[in-house]
Amino acid sequence: MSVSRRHALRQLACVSIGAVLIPSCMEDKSKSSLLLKHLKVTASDEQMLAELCEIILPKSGTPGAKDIGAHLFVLTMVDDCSDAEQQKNFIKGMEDFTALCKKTTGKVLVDCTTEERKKITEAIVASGEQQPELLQFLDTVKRRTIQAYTTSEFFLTKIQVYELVPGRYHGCVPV
Amino acid sequence: MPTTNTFDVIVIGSGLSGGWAAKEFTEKGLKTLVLERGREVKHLRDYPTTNKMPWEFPHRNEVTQEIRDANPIISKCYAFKEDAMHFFVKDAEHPYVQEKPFDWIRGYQTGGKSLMWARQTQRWSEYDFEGPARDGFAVDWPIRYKDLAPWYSYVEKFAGISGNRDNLSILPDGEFLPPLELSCVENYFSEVVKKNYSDRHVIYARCAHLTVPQKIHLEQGRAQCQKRNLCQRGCPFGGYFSSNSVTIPWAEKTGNLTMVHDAVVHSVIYDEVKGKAIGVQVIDANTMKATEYFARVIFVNAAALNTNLILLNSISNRFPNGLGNDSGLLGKFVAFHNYRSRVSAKYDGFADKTTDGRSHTSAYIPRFRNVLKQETDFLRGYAAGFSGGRGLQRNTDGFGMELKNELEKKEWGPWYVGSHMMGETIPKETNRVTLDSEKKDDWGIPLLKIDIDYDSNDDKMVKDYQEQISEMFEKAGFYDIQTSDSKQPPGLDIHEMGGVRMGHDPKTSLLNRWNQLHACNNVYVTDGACMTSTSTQNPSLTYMALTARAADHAMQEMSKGNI
Repeated sequence: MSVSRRHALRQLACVSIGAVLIPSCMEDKSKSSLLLKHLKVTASDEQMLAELCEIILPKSGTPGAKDIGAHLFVLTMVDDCSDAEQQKNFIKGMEDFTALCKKTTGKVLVDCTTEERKKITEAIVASGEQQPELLQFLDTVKRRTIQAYTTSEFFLTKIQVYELVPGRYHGCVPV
Repeated sequence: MPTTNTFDVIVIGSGLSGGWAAKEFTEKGLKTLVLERGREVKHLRDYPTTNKMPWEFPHRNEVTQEIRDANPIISKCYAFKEDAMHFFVKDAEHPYVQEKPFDWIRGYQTGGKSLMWARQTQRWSEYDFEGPARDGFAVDWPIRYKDLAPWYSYVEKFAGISGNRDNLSILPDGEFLPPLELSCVENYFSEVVKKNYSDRHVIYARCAHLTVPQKIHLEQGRAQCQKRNLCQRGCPFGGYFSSNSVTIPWAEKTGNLTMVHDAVVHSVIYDEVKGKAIGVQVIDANTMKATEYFARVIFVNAAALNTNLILLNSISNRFPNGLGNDSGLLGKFVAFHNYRSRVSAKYDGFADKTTDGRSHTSAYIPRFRNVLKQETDFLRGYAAGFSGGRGLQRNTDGFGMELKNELEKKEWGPWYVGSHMMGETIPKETNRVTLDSEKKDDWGIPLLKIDIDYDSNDDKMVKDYQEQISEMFEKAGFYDIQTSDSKQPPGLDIHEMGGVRMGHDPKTSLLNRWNQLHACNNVYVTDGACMTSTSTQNPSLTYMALTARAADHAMQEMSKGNI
């Protein structure tokens, strides 16, 4: 259990302090801020992923993906809960995404304008089946980002309140 | 370590049935030793995840790939998730030999699997006990419903069983605490089935939850079930029945219980001169130190297959093939429940209704096939679970604010309904467990070889279940009906039974009508191993009743000086 406890602490540190901590987490430009067991991810990959997650779920009146550390959750889940094949495809998809970003805008995602970011998303949808890893990568990032958000403390205490102790069950009530 | 090695009674195993034996004996003043092969899990103290919120689980309750790779068997169990995996035996911790695929799901700790069980508690009926005799399989049960009925009542009152009085001969009523409500769709389906079939019923599934605690439950230190539906983590309210929260602490309070953990039972010791069992040989799981404990009566409640293993490994001159095994049938006629198939569908009615809070149970369809007479091309039948609920509907196609708005809005999806089968399997001599002649575990005990499979009766039953439930679903206007057959290996039902079956005749059975070994009457077996046939009901309630009845018998025999 020590491994998952370490994970929990790490995640708690990054997730709870959220956006404030992220820049300091990435002082080292060569390595991810997470201690990953399988994935080889650089600080700039991680930064890119944070931007991508934010495109998927942007900050508005409610926290965005970056605020809740969704990109770190994505990396943790791919690193811990996927098999070697899925991890290989994820990395390939991430490389393809970075390449596509360069090709479409001449920049890395972090430096892209809102308009350019929109263009990239459209380009991916248009790329279709020629780059299966890219689509799979995007699908994984999106699915895990949605999961990070809908299971976050914010979401389960403010949007759809999770009750640890409901104390009741009614079988048929008005919606 | 206990100060003495001699007790009135030794109970092997602290799970659901062992806990009951401990409670019965200690309450009547008998010094009782309970041997538990696993670690101590103390009620309240040792439920590390019980109050965790969903976001506090690093993997949101998923099991990591590393753990799944290392545990291909236990990872298949529905309850083996991040919140409760510490209560299950990992594959490498206790290997066994699979002659045919068998998923052996185990919990080695105080309370055994009673900590994580599904808490369904349906009584057997007369039709179930008469089954083997009427249909000509296995052997006749040496008891009938009337023998067990008072003991069902006895254990139900103490354990706390929530149920509705349904007045069905196929599923007798018991001593019930009030039921929860069924959902709109569950009630609707019940009405549809009642209208269309005279012999089929959809009822509230009886379960071991304190919906309204009685005085006896408060004395046990338990409180009302709070509908958390997180039972597999261990319940801080004691809302459901487990050995940990009920029978073991109750036995401890008497001052007559001695409990030893990490005590792997090697064998039951048989005294050739006295002509009876005199004790148990135990190996400490950590230090490997061997110890012998002695008692007048021994209850073997190690969980069905481990009870078989212990008896097969209890070798003496008198019993060279395992304790009490004069018939040569020890380890044979093992059976289980067929949980292979599911049927699911959707329903568009009750668009303006939903459920509120969480239910810990659902609806239940008692067996309706071959009840009064044989009417299909397969023997016996199946019961089925049924549940209907609905969740929020979310379209996750978009990106950005479009997606975010979709996640944050509250729009209800259709009602989803689902059913799973619980089929009776026919005990066969070829479905058996034996000891491996070479391979041993870390404690020098032979590995169990498991050789158990389905047969054509089970396949026919799967087909019939799918046809009948689909037909019933159609009559209710459910749509998008999907049937599936997981073909899951036996074992994953976690209802393995038999191998030390009860019967009238020592030549064809191991145990008599009081659960005593025919050939060694101070040894009782009252866990799943004793079952002559399986019927369709979740078996735990029957083990509780058989155990309380057998303990009562043992105490009478002890006072008469017969054992």
